[in-house]
Amino acid sequence: MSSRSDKLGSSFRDPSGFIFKRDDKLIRQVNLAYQKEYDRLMTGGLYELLTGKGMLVSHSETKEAPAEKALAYKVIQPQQIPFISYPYEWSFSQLKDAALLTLEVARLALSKGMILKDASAYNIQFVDGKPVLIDTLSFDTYREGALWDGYRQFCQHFLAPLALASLVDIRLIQLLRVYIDGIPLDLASQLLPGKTKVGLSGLALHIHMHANMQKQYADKPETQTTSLAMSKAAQINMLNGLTKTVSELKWEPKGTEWGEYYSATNYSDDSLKKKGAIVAKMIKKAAPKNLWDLGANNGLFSREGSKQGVFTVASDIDPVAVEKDYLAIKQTGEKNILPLVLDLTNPSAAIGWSNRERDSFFQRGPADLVMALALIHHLAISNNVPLGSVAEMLAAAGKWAIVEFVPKSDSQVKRLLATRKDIFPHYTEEGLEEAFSTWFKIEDKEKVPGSERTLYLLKSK
Amino acid sequence: MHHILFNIRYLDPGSGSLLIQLIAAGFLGGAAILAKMFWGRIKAFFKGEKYVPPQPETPEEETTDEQPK
Repeated sequence: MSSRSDKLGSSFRDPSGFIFKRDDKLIRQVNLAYQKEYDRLMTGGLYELLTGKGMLVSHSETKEAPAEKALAYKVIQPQQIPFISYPYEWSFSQLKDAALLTLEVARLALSKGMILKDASAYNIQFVDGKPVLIDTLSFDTYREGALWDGYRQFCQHFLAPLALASLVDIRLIQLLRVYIDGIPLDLASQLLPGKTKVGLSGLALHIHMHANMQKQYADKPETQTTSLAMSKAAQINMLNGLTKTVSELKWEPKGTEWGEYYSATNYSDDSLKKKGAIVAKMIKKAAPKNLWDLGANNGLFSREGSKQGVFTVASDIDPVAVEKDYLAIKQTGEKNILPLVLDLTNPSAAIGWSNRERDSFFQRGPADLVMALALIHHLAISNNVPLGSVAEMLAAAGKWAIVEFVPKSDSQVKRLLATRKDIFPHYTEEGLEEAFSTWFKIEDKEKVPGSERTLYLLKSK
Repeated sequence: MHHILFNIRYLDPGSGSLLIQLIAAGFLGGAAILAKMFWGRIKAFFKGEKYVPPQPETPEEETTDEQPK
């Protein structure tokens, strides 16, 4: 029998059950306290409906021993998610699609006599470009007159960051890193433009009035509201209203530094193709099960992995590039690729209760293979990271690495050096090989035809 | 097994948030829903009675795990 310490650090709030790790597999214990609701989910048609639409993670009941036997009703083995990501790592449309999924699941639950009892963005994950609810225990039996307990959470986790990203600045999604239970509505209300307060718009109601009402009722006893009731039709009406409000929030990325990267570089189409072919060959040689493409831009070279069936995380600091990547995946239905917004100079930290609720980016690794293509000059020159430190980071991120060296004579590096003093005497091919030799062995080295760049395939020592 | 019988509602919905839901449902669905919801209250007020919230239409399925006395 497993010990309590196997319980995931994020899985403690809901007494219905919890997730634990055993032999590298994530398993869910369903508690006796949730027996009736679980049975209703499984036999009342909701499980079939949602898994059939790919909206809820599927699972099978297993004979695995429970982690806490005294509480256990069943042990279930959910379909494994290839990479757990968090809302502050999503692009605008990823967060928006996760919000719309949550509302749709809430509506479908009502149609089967159940109710979605929470609306945590952390309950949504992306699998093959689509959002999916991963918390099987998020459903309660619907009781006539019930209000939606998840409403406040929905507004904080989804509506507030989407509204701020759409109407103020995309970077405000990053507030979710600070506020783990979503952006406080009074803060969102202060930051949103005054025009959103006017009239009876969705934002006026769900953010501004909501924030005021919270303030007004903050110290009132709960008994004042326990007799409140609303019909199912009214609740569906409210969910539809929220859907409309979310749908109307748009973010159209303008050409940023990176969004137009490939059209602005001196790479010719032919050179890009040749680089792609070398990368594909190197991936094949490393034969990874999963790959992290760091600084992936819109995922052009990440596809060399995902097309080979290798699950690929394509991270970039630029929300525009990640948005474009996600929209392309959504449109084409590509599989095996997950675009994420990630600032490598300050990657996602471990946050939440005891720093154990949400893993840091590196805790979610290492990957079998990590790629740093046209990335190192940004870390070394724009952020002054010593090459040895870049090597150490990559060795922590992956067992293999594909690294591109862009010399000082390249126009991209010239551009970076144009605005600052060159204090990087070791930024040379030899310097890189020397710095990486502590951590990696060179398995392969190839010049990118039509450029001054070099690609390395490295294996960690 | 007392510890398994606590209330399953684990998330604090927040009083202010509950009230806003009523307004949201009312605004977006027209005044009719709002009036209907408050009708019981309004009636009780004018009759000088205590408001009794509606009971669930369908009774809960039989419970097997009764609270130990």
